Amino acid sequence: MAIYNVFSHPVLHQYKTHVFSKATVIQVLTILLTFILPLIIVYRSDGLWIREIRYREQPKITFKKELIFLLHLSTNQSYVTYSTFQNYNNLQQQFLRIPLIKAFEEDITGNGLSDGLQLNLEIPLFDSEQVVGVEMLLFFTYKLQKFSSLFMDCMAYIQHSFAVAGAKLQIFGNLQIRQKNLLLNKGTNRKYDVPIVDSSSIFSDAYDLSQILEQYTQRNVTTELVAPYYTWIVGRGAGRPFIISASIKYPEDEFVISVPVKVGLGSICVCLGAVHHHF
Amino acid sequence: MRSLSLSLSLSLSLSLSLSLSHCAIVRVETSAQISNLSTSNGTFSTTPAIVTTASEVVTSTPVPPKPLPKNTDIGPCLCDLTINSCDVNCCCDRECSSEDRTSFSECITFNSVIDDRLCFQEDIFYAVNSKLYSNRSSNGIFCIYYDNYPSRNFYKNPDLVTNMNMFEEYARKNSVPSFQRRPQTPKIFAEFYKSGDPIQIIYGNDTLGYLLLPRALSSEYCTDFNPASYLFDETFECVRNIQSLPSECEMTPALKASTYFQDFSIIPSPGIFKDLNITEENISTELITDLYNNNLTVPFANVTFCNDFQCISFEQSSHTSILPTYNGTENICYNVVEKVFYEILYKGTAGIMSIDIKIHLTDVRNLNIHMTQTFSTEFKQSKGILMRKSGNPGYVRSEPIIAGTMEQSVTNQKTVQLIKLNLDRNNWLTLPMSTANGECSRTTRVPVKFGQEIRTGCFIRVSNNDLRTLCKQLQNQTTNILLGNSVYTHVASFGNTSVTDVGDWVPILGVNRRPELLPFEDRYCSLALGLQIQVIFAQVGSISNPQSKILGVAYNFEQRRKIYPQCLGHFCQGTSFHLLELVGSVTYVDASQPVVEIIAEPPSYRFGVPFDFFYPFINLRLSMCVLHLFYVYRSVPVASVQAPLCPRCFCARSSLSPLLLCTLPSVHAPLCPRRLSTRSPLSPWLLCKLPSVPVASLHAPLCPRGFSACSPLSPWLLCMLPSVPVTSLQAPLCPRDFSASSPLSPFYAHFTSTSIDLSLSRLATSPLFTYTSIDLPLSISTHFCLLQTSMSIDLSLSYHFCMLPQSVFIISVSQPTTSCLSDPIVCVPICLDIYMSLVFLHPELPPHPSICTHYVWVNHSLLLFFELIHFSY
Repeated sequence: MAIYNVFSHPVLHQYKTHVFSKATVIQVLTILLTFILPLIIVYRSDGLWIREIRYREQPKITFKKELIFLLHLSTNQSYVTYSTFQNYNNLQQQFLRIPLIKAFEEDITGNGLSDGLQLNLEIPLFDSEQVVGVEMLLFFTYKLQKFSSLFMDCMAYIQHSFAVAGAKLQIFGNLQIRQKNLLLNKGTNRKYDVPIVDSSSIFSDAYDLSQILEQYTQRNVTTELVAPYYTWIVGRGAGRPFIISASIKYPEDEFVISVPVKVGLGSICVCLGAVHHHF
Repeated sequence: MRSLSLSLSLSLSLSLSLSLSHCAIVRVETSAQISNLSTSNGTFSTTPAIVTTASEVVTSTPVPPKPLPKNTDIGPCLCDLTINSCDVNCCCDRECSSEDRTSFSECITFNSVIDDRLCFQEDIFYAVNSKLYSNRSSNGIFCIYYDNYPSRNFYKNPDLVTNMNMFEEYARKNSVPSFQRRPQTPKIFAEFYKSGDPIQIIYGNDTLGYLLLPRALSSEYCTDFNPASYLFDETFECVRNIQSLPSECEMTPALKASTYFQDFSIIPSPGIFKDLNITEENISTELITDLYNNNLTVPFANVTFCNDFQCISFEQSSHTSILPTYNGTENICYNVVEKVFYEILYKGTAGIMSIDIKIHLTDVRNLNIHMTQTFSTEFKQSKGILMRKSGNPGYVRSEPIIAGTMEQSVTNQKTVQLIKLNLDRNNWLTLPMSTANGECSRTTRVPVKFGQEIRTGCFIRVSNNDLRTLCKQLQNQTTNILLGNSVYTHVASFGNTSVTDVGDWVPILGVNRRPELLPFEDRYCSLALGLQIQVIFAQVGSISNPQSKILGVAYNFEQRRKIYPQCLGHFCQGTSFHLLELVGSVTYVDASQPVVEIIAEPPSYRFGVPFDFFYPFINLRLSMCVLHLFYVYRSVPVASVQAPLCPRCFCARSSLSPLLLCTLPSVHAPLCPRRLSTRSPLSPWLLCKLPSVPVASLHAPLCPRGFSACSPLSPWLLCMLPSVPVTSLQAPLCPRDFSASSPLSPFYAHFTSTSIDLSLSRLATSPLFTYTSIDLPLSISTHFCLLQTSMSIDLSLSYHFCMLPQSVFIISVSQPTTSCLSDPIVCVPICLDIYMSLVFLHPELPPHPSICTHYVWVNHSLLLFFELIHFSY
């Protein structure tokens, strides 16, 4: 007679012990060795555990409607300046010239984030005043949302000079991030969510361009106009203002962030899974 | 060492070796070879015979080119460049005697013979300044010793070009960009002008041209040869650089008014060329003169000269012009052209009907002045002032905001409200601006344009004394400067709002709330020095075509500032006056409802196998049972509740399937959350089984919202909702290894901790199931051992109707056990105890159980160990 398997059933063995026992110690050690140790090894071995990843996001950039500019004049090596900070203007009274500032930010893609700034400055000048150089700081707020929430104040520095006196300076550029270290992958970073210029100060050094730039470069996350294009138009007509026209785009940017633990673990698991499948 | 390298290079014949030590031996070999080659083909014959035969070639019929030998190296001696003379260091030159060769310091070598030894390696060692070579043969199995396939080593000899077609064929095939100039754009001899075409004119001196509108290019200086575009209203400003006023004043054409209208006529339509049979080829001076003199062309009808005070009009026929005149004593140039304005009437394809010109003249005083000129065109269909809208209907960016004053008039004893509108578009809402010396400009103000945020301002100079005595007057003055002369009460909500639709005009808030006039108090004068115009607008209408509508406008005066008398130096000698900065600004607030994009549910798919899929392996009746197990949702009416949410046929056989979707134990939408959450607080997955969550909210950008709407508890919800393909679920929202192959997967936790039971009683209470159920005492536990967790769920939820005539099986899942977990880390076979119950359609019949056992393999990954009890009557 042929024998066949009618029915089969796995047997469950249960081993019980007290909490304070050698078996518990061994159990704990085994678990540690089984789970924790491989993770430590994997984490310490450079490469298998992903430490940083890149992702792309369009930041929410808003022009703060704050700026400082300096027009360098070839006449008497003097300059003309203006800022939106009242205290700075008080300090610079004899060099002040009030411009007409027009700005708009446009959301072309309709995703709720501004895609660029169109800024136009008309600075009235005497016909004898010859502009040969421009320095300008534009201040923005910057916001990231996708992984960590990053809030910061940032700026764009525009500097251009020319040997021939100009009538108009046009700037075309992209405001992009420059990060020196990894961004967080979660939480909120408000470290740089403070104004770059202390506009409440009545002292000159708060508005000193070199100091502003020095402090700005010390930050870990900054923005800059990446390789802007300039056109310098010469031939200012009599009675005409000097015009600065800046077209600054806020493009989608690439960010490097530290890897969230779950992503790191996930990648390890994928690896283990692949190895398991392989064998 | 040296002898070795010598012998190697010997066998190399014409290797790339440049070593001097090899020279003597190599030279012998190459010259011998070259003499062979050149005698065999003689292509590069250097005899003077070519010169003498040249004349014969010209006179005779086409002579075919000398044929090139096929697959032969035709340049055996490249250094022999001098006719009848020995070239230095050219060892292959036959004109060199052996004495010459002896005097050569080296032989110029070149690789003219295909190397038949490709399999050698050459290394160069640098020792101080000399190179040492080492050549080694390599005998690898992939080494090609000799490549004798001719077409791989020799060019094909293309035919010489004999005719133009052939030349063009070659040029076209191998075309590259060239420095050649592009052909001239032809003058237009079309039927009529189209918008954007240049306007043709005809000069009195028999030349054709375009109506020009000088424009700045590359600098602010005017470039004169920019044509005006037909039907496009244009305004250009550019600068004339006058170097010497006495010499240029009366001579420079650009400064003369007559330049812009005299001695030329407009060609109303290029069609008149056709009427006169003038084409590009036959156009001649006589024809042009005829054309200029007849009445087909359009001369300037009216010429108007203006200065700052008055305008004078002339008929063009009077040939009057006001020319610049120079006054040497005062160094003034009178009547220089400052603005040129062409007003052109047109009519469809008939073209230009008439043209008027208005020239604004000015006096130029200073030497070496950069004078700004303005040139503009305006095309109209009829005379009169054209009112331009600021949008239709929504405001367009950079168009002025329309403002007017509401007035009440009584007609027929009825009060009628009307908006009084100023027709000057640049004089609606305005803000002050500064002049070059920083003070407030009295003449020009900045118009407020839609969407353009503005900051402007100017200074008022006030002495300390004035500050003390004239504080009230100062406030009055600053308020007047900020508001301007014309004060309006209402703003049009749309760019095309009619003055009669009074309801569509929104009042300007705060325009009448002028700052209080306060006297000098104690030590300071309190002044409001700023005005902010806030505009609230919203997008209305279609999302794809939003229109901006102004909802409200408010004038806000700045907070008062305390202005203290200011001192610098001894007894305030350094400061004679204050600079008070007046600031005007415009801000736009977008109050539109944000646009939310909703992505539609992806189409569900269904697939299945025929009922006899397992035919030879299992008995047909049972296979039906098994298959129905998979199709359980089809046969159970309850499933229809889930139909829109769950892919019908699913899951069961697809390893990709989001099986959890089908595991819904609770099918009644409103009951679901409660049941599930009470059932197992441990498992986040249960929350995900909500069948009532709108599918659309699953998609990534909307996820948080959808999730919060349904259950504030579980983020998994997003990943778990029905009818979303697994692949999309694994997007950034889901834990990565959703696929459950990893022991760390949340899935794993789920299957070991969740209890899923589908009680028969619930089924029985369903109105669709009117039979009774009996839990048999002889309930038999069976096992489903699943290699992939994803497969288990369908089974676990299945209550199954076996379509046998007498009996119905209902299989339900009770407590899953971990008994099958053979390897807790890697392998995840998850076992579920299947509790089988029987439901009899005819309970009065006693059951006769019999057992049948079957193995079913599905999809390679599912090993289903399935036991069914077959009851027969």
